[in-house]
Amino acid sequence: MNEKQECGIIVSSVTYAVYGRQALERRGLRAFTERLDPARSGDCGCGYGLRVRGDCRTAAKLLEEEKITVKGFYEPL
Amino acid sequence: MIYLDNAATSWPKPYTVAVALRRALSALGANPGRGGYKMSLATAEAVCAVRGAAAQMFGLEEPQRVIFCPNCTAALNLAIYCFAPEGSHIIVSDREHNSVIRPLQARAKAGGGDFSTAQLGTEVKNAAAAFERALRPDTSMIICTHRSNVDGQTLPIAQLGRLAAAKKLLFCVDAAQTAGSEEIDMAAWNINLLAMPGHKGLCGPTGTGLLLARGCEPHRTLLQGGTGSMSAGADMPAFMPDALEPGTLNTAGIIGLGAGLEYLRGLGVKQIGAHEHKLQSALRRQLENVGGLTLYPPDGESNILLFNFDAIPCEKAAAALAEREICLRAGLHCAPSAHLLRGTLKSGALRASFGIFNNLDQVRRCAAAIKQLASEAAKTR
Repeated sequence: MNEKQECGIIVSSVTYAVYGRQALERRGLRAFTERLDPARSGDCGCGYGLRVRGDCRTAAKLLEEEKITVKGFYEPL
Repeated sequence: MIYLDNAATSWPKPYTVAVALRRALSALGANPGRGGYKMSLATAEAVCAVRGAAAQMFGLEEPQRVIFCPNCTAALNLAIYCFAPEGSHIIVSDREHNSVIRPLQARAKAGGGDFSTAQLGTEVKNAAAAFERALRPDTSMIICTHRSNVDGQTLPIAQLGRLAAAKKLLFCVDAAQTAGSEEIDMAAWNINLLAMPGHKGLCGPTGTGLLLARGCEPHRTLLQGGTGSMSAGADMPAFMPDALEPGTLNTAGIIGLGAGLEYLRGLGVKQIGAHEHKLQSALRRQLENVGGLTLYPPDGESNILLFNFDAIPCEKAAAALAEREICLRAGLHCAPSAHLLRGTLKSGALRASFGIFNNLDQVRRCAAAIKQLASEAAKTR
C-alpha cells in the first residue's frame, strides 16, 4: 500500500470490477476501475483491477461479502 | 397496419429503446471488458446496469448470473448443454417449442442423455403429477414453458418449482411468452434457469436474449473464445457471466434492452399483463359467435388467441388478413406438440398475439376483418 492509502485489488473481469466499484462506493470507499497489464494481474493475464482509496483489507473483505472474488493485490502506479 | 404478432417479436418498440440504441452506437461504441479507456469502461457500466435491472425484475440476487445471448433459443441451448449433467435425463412438458425439443433431440442423438415428455394434456392443474410420473433416478432437470406460444395456456410454474426443489432437480423455465407480461420471481418459484428473449415482452431489439442462472454452475461451455478476462489461459474462465459469454457482446442491443426494461418498470409488469389479457379476451368475445370460425381454448388469462377459419386454410387466411393490413402468424409456430394437443397439427392455425401497444380499437378492426372474411368464405361454399 502506498503513502496515499491507495491499493489495488485484482478482480476476475470487468463485470466484477464494475459491481465491485459500486459495492465499495455504497460502503463509502472511493474506487476506480482500471485495466491491468499481465505483469500486475497475477495469473489472470489481461484483467481489471480496482484502485481503492482506503484500507485494502477492509475493501477486500467488503468485496468478498458481495460475492466478488479477490484474485490478489497490486501496487497502483 | 395492426400488428398482432407480438409472440414472435414485439413491435413497435418504445421510443426510448430507439434513443438508447442511437446513444449506444454514438457514445458507447467501445468493446466492454477489453479496454481501460473511458468509453470502454462506460460501455461496461451500461451493460452491467442492464444485468442489474434484469436480475432485479426476475428475483435474481446476483446480477453477474445474468448471461446475455442472441435470443431465447441460445439461452435454452446454454441451459440444456451447460447445466444438465452429461448423460442425465431431462423431463419436458408436452407443449414445448422447438427451441427446447431440438437441442434435446440433438443431445440425445449424440449420446449426451435422453429426455421424456410429461403428458399433461389440455388440463394443466396437476402438471406436477405428470412430471413426477416421468421421473427417473437419473433425471437432472425439468424444463417447462411458462406459457405456450401456440394457444397461450399458462402452466403452473410455482407448482413445478416445488416439485423440482423436493426432488433436487434443476428447474428451467422458458419465459419466452411471459417475460415482461407476467411477474416472475426465480427465488419464490425455485427456478434455477430462466430463459427469455429480449425482443418480445421485454421490448428490446432483436438479437437479444437472456439466461438467468440461480443456485447452479455450468459444468461446461458451449462456445469458447475471448472474454477479456483470464487471458493467459487456454481454458475458458469458470466464473459467470464470462464462462458463457465468449466474444464481443451485442452492446447496442443490450443497452436498448435496458431501455425496454426501464419502460416496463415504469408501466408495471402486472398492468401490462392485464392490458394484454383484456385485449385477447375482447377479441375472443367478439369472435365467439361468428359462424365458420373455431376458437381454441383456453379462455383464460393470456395474451394469445388461437383460431381457425373452418373453410380457409390458415396461411391463406393470414394472407387475406395481411391484405387488410392485419398481421397475424399462421402455421405451427415452431411448436408441433402444442398443436397436437389442440388437434391442429395437420391444419396449423392462426395466432393473434397482443402486446403493450395494442388497443381495443385495433381489436374491433381486427374482429371486423375476420368476420368479413368468414362471411365471404361462407358465401363461396
